[in-house]
Amino acid sequence: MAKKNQKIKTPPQKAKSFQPRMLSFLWVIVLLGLSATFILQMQKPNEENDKEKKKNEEKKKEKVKLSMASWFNLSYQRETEEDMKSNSPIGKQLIPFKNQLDYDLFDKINVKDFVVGKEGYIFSIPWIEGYLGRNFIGEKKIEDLLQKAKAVQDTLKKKNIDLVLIYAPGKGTYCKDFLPEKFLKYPKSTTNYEVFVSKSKELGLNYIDLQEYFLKLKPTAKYPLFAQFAHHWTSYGECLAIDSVIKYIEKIRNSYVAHLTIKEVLLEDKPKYRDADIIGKAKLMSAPTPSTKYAFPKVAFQTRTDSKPVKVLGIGDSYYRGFLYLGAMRYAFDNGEYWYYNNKVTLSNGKSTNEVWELDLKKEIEKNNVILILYSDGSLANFGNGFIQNAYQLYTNPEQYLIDSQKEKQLSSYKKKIRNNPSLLNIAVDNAEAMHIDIDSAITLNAIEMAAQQNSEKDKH
Amino acid sequence: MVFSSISFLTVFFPLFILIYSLLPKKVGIKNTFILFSSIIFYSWGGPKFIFAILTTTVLDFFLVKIMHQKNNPAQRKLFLFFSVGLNLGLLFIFKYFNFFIDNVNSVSGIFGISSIHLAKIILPIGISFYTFESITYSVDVYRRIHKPLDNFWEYQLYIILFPKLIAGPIVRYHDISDQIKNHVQNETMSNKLSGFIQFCIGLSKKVLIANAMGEQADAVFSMNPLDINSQSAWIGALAYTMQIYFDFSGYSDMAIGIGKIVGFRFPENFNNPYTSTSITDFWRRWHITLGAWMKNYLYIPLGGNKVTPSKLYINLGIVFLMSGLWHGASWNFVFWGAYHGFFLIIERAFLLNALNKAGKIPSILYSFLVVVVGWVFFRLENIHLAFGFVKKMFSFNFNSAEGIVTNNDFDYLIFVALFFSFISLNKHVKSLHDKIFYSGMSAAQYVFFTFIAFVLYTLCLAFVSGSSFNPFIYFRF
Repeated sequence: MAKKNQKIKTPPQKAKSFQPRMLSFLWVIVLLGLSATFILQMQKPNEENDKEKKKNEEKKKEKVKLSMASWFNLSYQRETEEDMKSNSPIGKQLIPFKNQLDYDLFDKINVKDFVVGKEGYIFSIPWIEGYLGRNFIGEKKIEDLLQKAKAVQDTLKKKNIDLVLIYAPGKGTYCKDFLPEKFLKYPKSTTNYEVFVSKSKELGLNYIDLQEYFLKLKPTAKYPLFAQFAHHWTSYGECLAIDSVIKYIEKIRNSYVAHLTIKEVLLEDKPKYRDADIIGKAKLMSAPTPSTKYAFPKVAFQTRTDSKPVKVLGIGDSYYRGFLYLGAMRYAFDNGEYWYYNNKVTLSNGKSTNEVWELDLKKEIEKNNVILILYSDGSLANFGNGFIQNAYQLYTNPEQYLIDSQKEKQLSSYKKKIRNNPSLLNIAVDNAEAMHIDIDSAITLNAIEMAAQQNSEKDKH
Repeated sequence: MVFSSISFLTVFFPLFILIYSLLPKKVGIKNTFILFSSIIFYSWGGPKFIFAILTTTVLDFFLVKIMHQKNNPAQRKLFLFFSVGLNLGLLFIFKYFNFFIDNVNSVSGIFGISSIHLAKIILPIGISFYTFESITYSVDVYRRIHKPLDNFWEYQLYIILFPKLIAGPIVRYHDISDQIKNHVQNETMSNKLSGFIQFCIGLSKKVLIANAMGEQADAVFSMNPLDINSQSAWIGALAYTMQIYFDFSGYSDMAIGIGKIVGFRFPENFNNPYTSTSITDFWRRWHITLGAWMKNYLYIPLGGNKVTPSKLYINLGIVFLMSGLWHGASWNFVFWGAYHGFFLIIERAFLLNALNKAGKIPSILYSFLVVVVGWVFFRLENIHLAFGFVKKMFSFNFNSAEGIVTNNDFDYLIFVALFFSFISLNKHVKSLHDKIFYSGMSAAQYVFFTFIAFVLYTLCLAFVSGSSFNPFIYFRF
């Protein structure tokens, strides 16, 4: 009996001693797992290529160092946090993993303002809104702007300078059959594009309607004009757009402009360059397979020594970049500049120099033969980003222009100062968080405050 | 530092746990390490305010110590007054001063009196939480519920203990006073593992669910209510309802989880609040430690239940107005408090009986509806916008042109959030939940849940790495 009892009691005793050991073992695994996370975080990232290495070295130069000031204004903590996220080996592995999960599970692409449509087509929301007319600014606003543009066009014509407005196609319009279903619940209404084109015609403005041109070409185009995983027109589409613009300039200037010729077209299965711009930014573990082949034209510009070069200034959204990448700015436009959203100045070699407000507008305009303003349908709501209004004031009321531009310069210089100064930028970031506004708005508010302070000090003196 | 930040998850947390586990089992050494870690934790996000906490705790500690030594009731009251006054004074200056001046200016503006300039005051992180904890120390010692701590650094540890410092749970002094000296005894393997599991569950609530809900809520609430239809307004309200629950309860779970790992037992802060059958029940399940604080340190001193019905309703009103104001220095929070207070009063007066008769499901639907509408007032600081938003919710306008396009992840995760919010209505799930959190598991269950916790931890790391910084809602308070 006693033996029996002993036998009965034994297993629970064994279980009792087994459980703590098991739990201790589990806890050790937890500790090892956490330690591995820490070790991975502390490792230096592998710089995959020279380009990345160079980029990181540049970043390191700008890196905020640990100091009392950087600690107390939180800039050190913010930068360390950001660095740990994106530059550590753990971040480099996990970010694509997370992006892939989002893409596979939710059809979600982690690039701001971009959504996935049917058959994997990627769209920018403002460009979908451009197609649907959801960002329509109203007929009156467009008419006012274009009347000013007409006045500028006429004034510049007397100085032998041509102003040309270009309405570039948007992906939402061109690829409307692939728009995400969710957006199609919105009724389609009047679009900025429709009114811009009709008013431009009515007012006698120089304009090129590339949207209409692309839509006409769509059924017969040899290669895709818009790519599945990109936001902009394809390299081939860019070639067609550049060709049309060059021919238009030739016509209105009555002078030869270097022609773009396609020497060869390489067909590839995988998108690259701008044809993969958004899918590249999405940082996925593996890129999705495209449904069509991609065409990459090799281009050349036929220059002529006997013709007088035509200097062209381009003001535009990102669709104008094609003019830079394919060499049109250098070879056809006599090294003319590109003012990205009328803000950042880009030279024909791709380098960015000043911001537009730092320049003498009159001098800049008048050193060119042609001024192009190119916006695609998603960004037409901000057509010219103030260039037309400024040029109009400059030529119709120069005194007032001087006063207003001085104010604008003061404000812009403070904005630049804030962006370049980590402490000031941190204050703006804090304000943005506290006021629930975006950082740009917070920077503007702080710049207004600094300018007002400077002006009141000036008044006192 | 934020629990859901990459610096916490990959550096602070692993190092803290690892070093803590390697330290000898001596409470003095372990407490010193926790204190040191807590200072680093707080300094990372609020370096300017660490000195403010350190200074006030010195003053508080000595005021309470002197109070305890006094036998004269009047003198004891005086020291209690100083101690509570110091804490509430600081809270007033940092949190309510500008709100007060703003309202004074609004009134004086009517009479043409020039306005007072608003000072630039930044709110120290977690001040509402540690102020309430400091008050419990003074009051508990005053009430002789527990004697004060002998060692200043132990008191400092109670206040600054990092898991609960920033967003609770609000740990009352008498609940933790003994643990400060003996928490090492509770450092069992089962506590450590269940603490880690609870931490990972809380982290997942925040990172995998609350953030997706928050993104959708932000998109709706940033729009003018006039520009959206009823469907969108409900989507926004529901998204915020889920965000605030998974965000705040997630934080509490993480805090309680870390506490368990180092042997502390912090009180639970949530108990499936959206399954409440009344607003009275909701306040027993939502932010439980704030409710307990309000009951013990405000409602009972006001007379509690032992008063006339009219006085009782007034007391309830005061408690809920204060509770609203505690959340933020803005009229919308006051309104939110009053709104809940109103439902609590009418429930006491007659509604509870009616709800009991109506049955469980209608009662839950009623409570959930009241709570969802309440969150709109909590979310929108501009009270006019909040009313406009609620009006939109009930205007039954389904014009698709005024609709919003929801985020793809929200479309799926809202169901996950609703599922986890209401699943405890199922008895089996409830018992499983209680088993994970409150009673011991078998070895096999520990293996399974630890594995799940690790998967969630890795998933959360990926989501934290790939998303922009997203602080907890209750950090503002």
